[in-house]
Amino acid sequence: MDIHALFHASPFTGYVYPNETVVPWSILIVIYPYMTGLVAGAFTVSSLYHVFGIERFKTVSRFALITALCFMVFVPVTLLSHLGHPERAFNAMITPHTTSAMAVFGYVAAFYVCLLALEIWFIFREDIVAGAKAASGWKRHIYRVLTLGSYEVNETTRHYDHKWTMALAIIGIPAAHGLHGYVGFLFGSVKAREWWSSDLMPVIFLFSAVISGVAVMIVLYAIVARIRKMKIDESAIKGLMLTLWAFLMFTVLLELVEFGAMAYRAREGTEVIMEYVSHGPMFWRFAVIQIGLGAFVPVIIMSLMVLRGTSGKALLVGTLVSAVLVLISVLFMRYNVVIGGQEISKSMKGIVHYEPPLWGREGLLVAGLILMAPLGLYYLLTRIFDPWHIKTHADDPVTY
Amino acid sequence: MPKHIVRIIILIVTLLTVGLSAKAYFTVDTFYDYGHYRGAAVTDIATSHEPRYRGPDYCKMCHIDQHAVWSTHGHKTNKCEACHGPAGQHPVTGKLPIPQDSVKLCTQCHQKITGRPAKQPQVVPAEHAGTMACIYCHDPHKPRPIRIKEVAAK
Repeated sequence: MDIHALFHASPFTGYVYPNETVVPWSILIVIYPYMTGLVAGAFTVSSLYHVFGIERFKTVSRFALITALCFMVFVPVTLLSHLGHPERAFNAMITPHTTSAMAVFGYVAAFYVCLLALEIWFIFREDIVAGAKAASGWKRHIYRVLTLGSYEVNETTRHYDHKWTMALAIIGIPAAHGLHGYVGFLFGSVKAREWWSSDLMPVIFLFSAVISGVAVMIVLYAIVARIRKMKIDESAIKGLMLTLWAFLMFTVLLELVEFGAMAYRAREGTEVIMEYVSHGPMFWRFAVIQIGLGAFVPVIIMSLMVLRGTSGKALLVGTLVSAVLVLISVLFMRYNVVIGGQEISKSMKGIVHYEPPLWGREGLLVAGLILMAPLGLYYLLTRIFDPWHIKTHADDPVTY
Repeated sequence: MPKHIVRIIILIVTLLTVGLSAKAYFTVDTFYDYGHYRGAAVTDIATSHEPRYRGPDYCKMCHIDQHAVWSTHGHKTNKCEACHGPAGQHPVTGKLPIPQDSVKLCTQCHQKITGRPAKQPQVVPAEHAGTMACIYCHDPHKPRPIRIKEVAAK
């Protein structure tokens, strides 16, 4: 027995089961659904253009795809570092158990990464061919490998690229959202925890994924435009803002419906949860930050902007503020679900108090680094795939 | 069909083949024989002799004194091999360990933790005896009474 494990026992109030004083799903498991959510949301933005043909999103559609890939690459890193024995993760792929949602979704996640990479390849194919002809040095070698030895670009290849891109983007919608819905599915299936056990969980995860993904697109677009001294496409920002606004209203509603249902259903032990939310640490994390500051304030800001027809600089600032608040709100939502569920004792008569450590493998520092790592990858990837240099038509959507 | 489409299809098929071959190659023999585990593990575990426990009567054959003390005191429900390790072919295969770090050993049962039954004697080692080793006062074979006289004499 590893007696050191016992020294991490959290303080608690009321009556809790002894094994609950150790909180096994740490801050890294908070970051994991957060990052998959960003992927699903960013992919939604790109699909709005590639599949549904909404012209506003043309400027950011490629940017959204590259961002989705960057975050997706680091999604498994959270789980691998949490497991401690990363090499064992492959056992779930080699001998997957079909009754295990986690094992099956290893395959779904792998499929989605391949799909994303393939779609990016098709969309950037003309740029790759041009790069293989024009670029010099190490870039040229990369481009040449990526062309797969075919420099052919004409009407026929465009037609094929276009069809493949469309097909991949269409398959990608259920893949990206299924990937995220499953995280909610996992939590929602845990019958013993009242805080998790809800059929609305997958839906809430999906909606919050979309809002966080759109919000991260807005924030990153503003930052990248600042750094590259690009002119921000106001129509794209407005489109992103409208998407965020619409999905955010649904998300808040669903979260409140779920909470309301739990309160109204009032199953055994709900008093502890209500006390936890009204007086405990959850008051700040859930009621004030997640719902109040992170959801109601942006809904009000964006509603006002829509009503007044705000444009220009004010639109950008308002959208940016809303997006940052939404990002914070969704991060707290993940925290409240993952940690919150473990803080409420299954005895339904006590609460564990978990403080995430700063240092160590399961600490805030590692979680922050993993969360920031996609930005580094984005910098490297955009050396090869420039999402802002749109001159080809391979990714034009079909006209309906 | 354009050349690049043919090549990407070939690449996808190749990668799939490599992946499936790797899956087949790394799946250990007899894995699915009886269920979702390595079938041969059943016989492997059943026929393995490590660790092999012999029970207190085996120890008593030589260690009569220790057995007499142990079997009449508080730790009598705790078998010899719990602390000294499985006997196996001892003494032919060599000596059995005498635990050196008594704090580490004793706290496995006597560290104060939430949910441990209250009748189980539990201590917070630092408060109970500072940095002193448990065996300074407690004989593991005869935890009580403590060696007050011996301690006082020192």
